[in-house]
Amino acid sequence: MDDTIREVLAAHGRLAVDAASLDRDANLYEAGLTSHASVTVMLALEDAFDVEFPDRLLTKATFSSIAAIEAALAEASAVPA
Amino acid sequence: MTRPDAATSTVVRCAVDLVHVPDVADAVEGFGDRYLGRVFTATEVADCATPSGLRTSSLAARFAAKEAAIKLLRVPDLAAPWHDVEVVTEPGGWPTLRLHGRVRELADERGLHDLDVSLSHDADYAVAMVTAHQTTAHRTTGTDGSGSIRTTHDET
Repeated sequence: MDDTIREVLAAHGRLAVDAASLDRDANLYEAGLTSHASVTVMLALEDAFDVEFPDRLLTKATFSSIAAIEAALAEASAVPA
Repeated sequence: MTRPDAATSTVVRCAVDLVHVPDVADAVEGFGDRYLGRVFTATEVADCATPSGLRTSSLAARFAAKEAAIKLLRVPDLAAPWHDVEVVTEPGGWPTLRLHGRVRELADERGLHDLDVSLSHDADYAVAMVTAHQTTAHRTTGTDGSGSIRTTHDET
């Protein structure tokens, strides 16, 4: 899951740093993620993991780090993290 | 010192947001109707339609307006209220802002009213500025020391 999230971030996150080397808890907004990029990251994650994020999970906190995204994906797919 | 008649005060609030137009174009190309439907209302999409396709600069400006309006609310980590902030093009051609749902409730709770929006774009960037009046009630103290809150939010 971690590798796929990093691939999505590299493709859609418009980050100023290499997604592959980011710490799991690094703040993605500080790494360059914009509000708009978080939307495309969200859509790409839905495609990659075949899930749909419910509105309640579409917050800035959900996309604030790789670890946070992984937790949200687990919640969205109702699979324990 | 608080003036006896100063039960409320109104201030002008503003917020801006900037969006990279090519990012919006890429999202439209890559995710199509899923992207459009998740972020924009049908009215907004229709307002950005031309015979040759969608004006992505106009979509970008509308996304910026949504973000700016959300900034005005000052609510930490508000869950995706994109459809709750709608930019509507009036018959005269200028944009206005309509709030719906939770965002409307939050704006009312915060005394935000008379919202206005201005959009602009040039080459790769689109910008939106949203302004509002915010009326705040003050606690006033009577001669007997009792406290009361008066609101004149709906007064003209």
